[in-house]
Amino acid sequence: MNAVEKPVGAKLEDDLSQHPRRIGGVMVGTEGLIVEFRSVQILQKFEVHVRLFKTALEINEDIITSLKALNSDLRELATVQDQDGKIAWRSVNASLEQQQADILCHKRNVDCLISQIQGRSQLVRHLFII
Amino acid sequence: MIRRLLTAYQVMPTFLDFVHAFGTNPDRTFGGCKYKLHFSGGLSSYEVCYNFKSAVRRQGIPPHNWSIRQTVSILYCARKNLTAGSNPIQFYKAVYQKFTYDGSKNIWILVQPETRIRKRMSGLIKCSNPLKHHILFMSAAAVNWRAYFNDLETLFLDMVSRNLSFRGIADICN
Repeated sequence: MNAVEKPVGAKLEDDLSQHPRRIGGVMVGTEGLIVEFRSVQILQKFEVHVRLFKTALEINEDIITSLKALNSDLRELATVQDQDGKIAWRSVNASLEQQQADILCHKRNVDCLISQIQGRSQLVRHLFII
Repeated sequence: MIRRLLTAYQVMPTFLDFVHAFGTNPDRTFGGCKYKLHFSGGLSSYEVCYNFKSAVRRQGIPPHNWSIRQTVSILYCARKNLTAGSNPIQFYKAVYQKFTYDGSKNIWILVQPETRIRKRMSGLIKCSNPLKHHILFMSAAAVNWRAYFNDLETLFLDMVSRNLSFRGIADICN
């Protein structure tokens, strides 16, 4: 890990402090419209960051799916299943399903944020091309 | 050292993949879950290992700053000992469990466990389903996702409102 590398947020902050009016922005003045391509890069970096977040959620989701599969396998292979045992299997399954549902909810939110970032990125890119 | 440990407990070799994902050059996108069932007549034991990700609030940064800095300050870093440049989402821990039905023998290997988790685990040593411990890990992993998302969203909205305002767009349209 590079020791001097800054987190995404800090880089964004630096960019903004160095170019408080132009970065990611549109300036309308006597010289006409100025849009910097760098703003697109910043948005794309941010998108990558959010996508890593989504990947993390998906990894956890996959793990929960595998644990549910293992739970089902163990339940099927169990030689003795008393009432307590059945409840225990169901309890684990229900808890895992609940956590999976929570992750899906987070994923939907992240997808929404990614769409917003992409939309904004396209807009800035379009303005830059103009 | 770890190889000796894994050999002594006959840990399935796949677990090494998860261990190797840690270190100075962590593999950020690697993740998953592997399990193996052992039979001796009937089901005698099983092994399961996985690594999962989590967001942890970084310590020691004052929350009273300029708005963007404030947003930056509440970004997350999974491991406190990493540098500030590390990605906030890191491999938080890897988990290995070997459960033997004969005598209900449990072997756990946790990479980078939290003290809080260890304490809660000790209370779950005797439970009806050996998989119940894993719910603890997964729920611990999910603790900060919502706050982390909210901070990312705030950062984005703040960035957008500062840099590409609707007023600017309106000016262009006119």
